[in-house]
Amino acid sequence: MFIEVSNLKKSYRVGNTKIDALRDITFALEKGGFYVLLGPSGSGKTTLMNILGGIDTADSGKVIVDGEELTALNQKSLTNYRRKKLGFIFQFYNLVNSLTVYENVLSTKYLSEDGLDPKDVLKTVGMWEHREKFPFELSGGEQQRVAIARAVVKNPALVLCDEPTGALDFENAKKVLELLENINKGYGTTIIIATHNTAISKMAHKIMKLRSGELTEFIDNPSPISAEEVIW
Amino acid sequence: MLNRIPIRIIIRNKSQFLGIIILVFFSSLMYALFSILVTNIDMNYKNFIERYSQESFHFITLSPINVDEISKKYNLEVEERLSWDYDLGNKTLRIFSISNRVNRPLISKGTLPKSQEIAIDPNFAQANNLKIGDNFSIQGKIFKISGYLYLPDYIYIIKNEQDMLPDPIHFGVGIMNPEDLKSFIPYATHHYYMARGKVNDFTQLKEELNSRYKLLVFQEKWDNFRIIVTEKKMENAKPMAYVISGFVLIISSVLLFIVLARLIDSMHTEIGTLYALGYSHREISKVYLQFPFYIWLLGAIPGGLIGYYLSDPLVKFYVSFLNVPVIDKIFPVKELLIAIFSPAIFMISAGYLAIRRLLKMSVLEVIKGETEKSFTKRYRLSLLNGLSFKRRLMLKQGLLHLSREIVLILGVAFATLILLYGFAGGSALNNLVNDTYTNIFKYNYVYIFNNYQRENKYSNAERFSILSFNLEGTKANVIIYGIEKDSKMVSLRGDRGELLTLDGFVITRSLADKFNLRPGDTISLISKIDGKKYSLKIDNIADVYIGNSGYMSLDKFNQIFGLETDSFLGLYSFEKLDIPRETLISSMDKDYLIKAFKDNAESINKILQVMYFMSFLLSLTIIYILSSLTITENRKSIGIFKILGYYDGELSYIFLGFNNISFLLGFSLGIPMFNVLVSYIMNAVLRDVDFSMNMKADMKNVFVTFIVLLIAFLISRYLGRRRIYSISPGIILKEQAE
Repeated sequence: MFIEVSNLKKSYRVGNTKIDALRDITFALEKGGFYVLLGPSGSGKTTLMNILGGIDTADSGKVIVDGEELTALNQKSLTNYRRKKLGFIFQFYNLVNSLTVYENVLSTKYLSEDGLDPKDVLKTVGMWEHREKFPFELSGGEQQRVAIARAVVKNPALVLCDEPTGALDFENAKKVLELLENINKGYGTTIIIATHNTAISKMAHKIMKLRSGELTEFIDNPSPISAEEVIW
Repeated sequence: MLNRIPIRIIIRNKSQFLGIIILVFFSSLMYALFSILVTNIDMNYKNFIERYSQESFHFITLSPINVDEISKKYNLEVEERLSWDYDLGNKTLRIFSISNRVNRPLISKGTLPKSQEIAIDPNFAQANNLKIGDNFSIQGKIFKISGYLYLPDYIYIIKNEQDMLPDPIHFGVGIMNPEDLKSFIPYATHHYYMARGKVNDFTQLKEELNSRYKLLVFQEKWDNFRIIVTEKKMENAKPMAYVISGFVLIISSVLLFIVLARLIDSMHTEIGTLYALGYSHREISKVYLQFPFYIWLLGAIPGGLIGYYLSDPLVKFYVSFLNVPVIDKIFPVKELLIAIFSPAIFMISAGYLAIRRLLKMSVLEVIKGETEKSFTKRYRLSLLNGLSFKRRLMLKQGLLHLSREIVLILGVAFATLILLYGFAGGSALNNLVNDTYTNIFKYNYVYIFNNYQRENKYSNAERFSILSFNLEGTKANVIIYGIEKDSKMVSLRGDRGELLTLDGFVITRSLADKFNLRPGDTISLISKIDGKKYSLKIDNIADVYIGNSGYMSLDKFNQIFGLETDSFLGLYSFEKLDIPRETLISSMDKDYLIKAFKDNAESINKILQVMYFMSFLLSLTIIYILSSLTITENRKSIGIFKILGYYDGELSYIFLGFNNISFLLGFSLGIPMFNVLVSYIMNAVLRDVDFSMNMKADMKNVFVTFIVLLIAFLISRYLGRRRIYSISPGIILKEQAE
């Protein structure tokens, strides 16, 4: 299995209150799939994505991604893991404001030895013409396309997308989904999208439903729809 | 309610604000310390020389003059003074008769000596553990120490005119009754007169004294190292005090401006919301002007007061060093107020400038924030595209924030300047002794007769002659030596170390540097004895940094100055010579000079150590404030880069790497700045003094300065890196979601 999560637990303390963000989560995913983590706000989606992305640690349980046991890695090894295997896409794009579009993409290309050509990737996401612009000169949809280019240019094994369409209008959101679909199909990249939008989950091969930190459903979807067909 | 904002923000960003507070504290402290010191010494010095009738000039003649006649004719106050050097082993006490009209002694403690009593200078007393009431034996006679004294013409107490530093362990001055003193001087070989008053025509006076009484020495006040060195030292200290504290103050104001401007940028949403809620520009500005106010309160007030408190021991240290008596305890309110309030002006102006940008914006603009929109075309810096990504990012980071890099460059340059000044000053003193008195002046003893001699009775000694001049058009005192052509005692060398022959006229490097003289130039000299003018062509320059002097062969010397062939005035010797005292005008022991230097080096080192510490702290604080500002400002980007998989070391290079360049630039800039400062000191401060320092930024000094600053840089870099490590990408994402 490409991703194996077993008995994963994570809790936070806010003041005197203990919040269980993840309660005994177990699941496994194959390489090259398109997956959706579905749940309302506060269900634990982001916490799970952060642990899968190596930017947060588990309290207990085991997480293995592409043969690496993340729960046993130190900070430096986790950085290495993110550097080599991971692409991230966020709801608020998180581009580096002082860098141009092209430089934002280069910032991850720099980390990879066998990455893709930034020019090709920017063309794929339709942002090559805007390569000299700074993030503030772009619309939200355009910024998210740059964020996608930045995530995939190093040709990662796994791309984690946390509410990638959350801040976008319908048209732009669909374009973003199309791009993710193309990347999944074109490069065989495993993609996990965390979202509260049930319409998007129809694109997934597998859907994991989270509620209050628990994995309530794990659904196989034998006939996922294309991004073009997604409507909400 | 809003008034809580500044205090909370200061507590949250304590490291940045603490840095600025330290800088302001330092500038106030430095200003208070030095200005109070300088004012105290200055005022006490002026009061002392005025109230105790400092001489305008003194002269020595072979036969006694008619004091009343000369006084009346030239409208002067003239008084004869008896003087005798009492040698006790390696110590010398120069005893004078008590004077009543010129150079009157000030008794700081005790009383004027009566019969069988002596008063001595307090430094000599302290260094030799002598107290008032102690008995002091002079050639078997017992004298009671009646008090401590200060003499207006021996402020800088040095034994010989050539000495650079006072040495209270081995040399001091004292006074006693003329009758008591006469018992030690059976017959006078020369006569010493002190004069006070204004002379319109010195030439006429000198001519008369020379023709009637044979003038041996004539020295005006400005030419007297024992008097003038104090004034020069104060002149030197003043700009240093103002420049150092002023620079620190300006640097802290610029830093405050940068920090405040960034702070306001980062808080634009909150500020915009406050506007929207109905707070006026005035109310908001009042909140933000509290930042400079608190910085001033916590930095300048303690700085000024501690400076005032510390100035007392410093004044005591300096007055004992310069031998200026504390006549009046001066409390310079004005200086203290400047030390405390001038930072407020700078700080509040810097704060106001930072806020002004905000005041000009509309509520919407403020809420929206202008920060990100400021990246215009010019920030693309396409020129850097050819470089590796990491380097390009690092350069861009620096070039986008040029103002703070400039502050860093200037801060490091200034710290380099202070450090180099300290190191070069320290090693220049060492070199002066090692080079000058070991490699150039090889003799161990110098004897000067009170009359020209024809025959050298001491086979191992070498003859020389000496004459004093003024360089035409200046106040500079130039001494011309006539020495043996193949001298073994004085070995003059050129700047490449080659031995110079005495075929022509050779001048010292210190004289050449001060007046920009080159081989081939001609200098005009006016004799101090008879006012005659001589023009001498310079043939070569010797690498000698002590003395405004010139050298020629003894034969040529006698020929040019119209003296008898083979005549000479002094002897250089490796061994001590047994020359009758009464035939000598002065003698000098080289060991004494070296010893004096070594004793004083320690106290000078203490001052230098404070300088080193200050520059170290200055550079550390500036680099730390700027790097932590960069990190705070780029927190989000650093978090994103961490998520993308960048190592902490890479991020440190990208965000703080430009500091390396600025540090090196600042250091490189500090070296020419140092050279400018040194040439200023040489030309403006030491120009009229017969003393020069070979203060060179040589490889060793530059290297040591670099290492010290590098340590400061690496410590601040380490602290910066720690801040980068502490940024958690998870928290950055969480903050964003909130």
